[in-house]
Amino acid sequence: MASDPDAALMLALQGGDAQAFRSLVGRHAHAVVAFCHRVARDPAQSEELAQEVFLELHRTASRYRPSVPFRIHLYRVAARRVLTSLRARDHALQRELRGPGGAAAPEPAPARAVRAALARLPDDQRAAFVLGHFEGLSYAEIADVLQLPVSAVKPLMQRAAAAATEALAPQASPGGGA
Amino acid sequence: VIHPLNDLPALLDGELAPLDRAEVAAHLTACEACRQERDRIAAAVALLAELPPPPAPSPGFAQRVEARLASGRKTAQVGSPGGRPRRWLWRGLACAAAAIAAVAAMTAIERQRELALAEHLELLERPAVGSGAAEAPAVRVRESREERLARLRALPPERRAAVEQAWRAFRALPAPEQEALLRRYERAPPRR
Repeated sequence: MASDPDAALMLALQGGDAQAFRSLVGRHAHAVVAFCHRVARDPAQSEELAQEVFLELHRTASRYRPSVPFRIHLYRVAARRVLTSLRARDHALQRELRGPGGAAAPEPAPARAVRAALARLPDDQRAAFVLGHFEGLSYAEIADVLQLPVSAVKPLMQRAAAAATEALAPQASPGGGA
Repeated sequence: VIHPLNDLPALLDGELAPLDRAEVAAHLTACEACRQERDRIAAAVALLAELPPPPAPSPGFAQRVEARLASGRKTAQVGSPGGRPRRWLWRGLACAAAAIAAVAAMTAIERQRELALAEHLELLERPAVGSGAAEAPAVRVRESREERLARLRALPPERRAAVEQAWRAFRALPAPEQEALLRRYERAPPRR
């Protein structure tokens, strides 16, 4: 952790170094936009949410401690922001459930099915599932990000996997799947 | 026979404890139904790769973040459903906005700096912070952020200057030393 360049940038930001913040945005914009997109399921909102994640990262920079890996800290801020937004607005999920994506480019059937299956998951399950399967976090790290006991992550992942499996069963039929 | 269906996702994710993993693996060798369920979950998870990659940040993303930071806006909403203001008004508004943004940016940086000082106040009051040799206190004062902020603001000028000086010295340390110092400090037990 001592060589974590992001931790060093956060410490520099705490000291008022504006360039450090720019570097953090540059290094992590892609990951944060992707995370917001996958959890919020609303392309129109994901970039706006990602901006708010960075604003929050800046606003709370003084509370950052290098004892927490930066990646966990960042996802913690991002998950809190996205889940709060979803709770408040709940529009993305509803839109997704209504139809296969309006004006978006046509997608192959499996991708559409995956998107719909993810959209149907409750927000906390989707966040955990995205963190585990797309961002590559371990259960312990997911627990850290979502501020849950580790023991709560396993059932969350189990329910998400069960729901996704159920929804994707026709697509993942023998011969077409793993 | 108890079928370990709830453990299958964790098994596939490599998150089962060794003993549980051995138990589930032993069950799977003997249970066709559970093997099928495991394969079904694995196939569904494999389908995640079918999703197209998420969008990359659009050009100017970082600049927009900075602009919002400077203006202190929480949501990016620029709507003018009414008539079109005249050009002079736009120009005036733009100047005012730039001035406000500049002040807000300065204020935000100052505020950030003050919060950082308050956050590390007790550590910065220790001797020899700048040499990296500062010893963490035997016990740590447990204060809320507001209490620390109030204490920082109430410091007499010379002690405030000393804290600022310690902060600059701390900031000049290599990052690993800063981290080590903070970690030593955080390990000290808190007291009220």
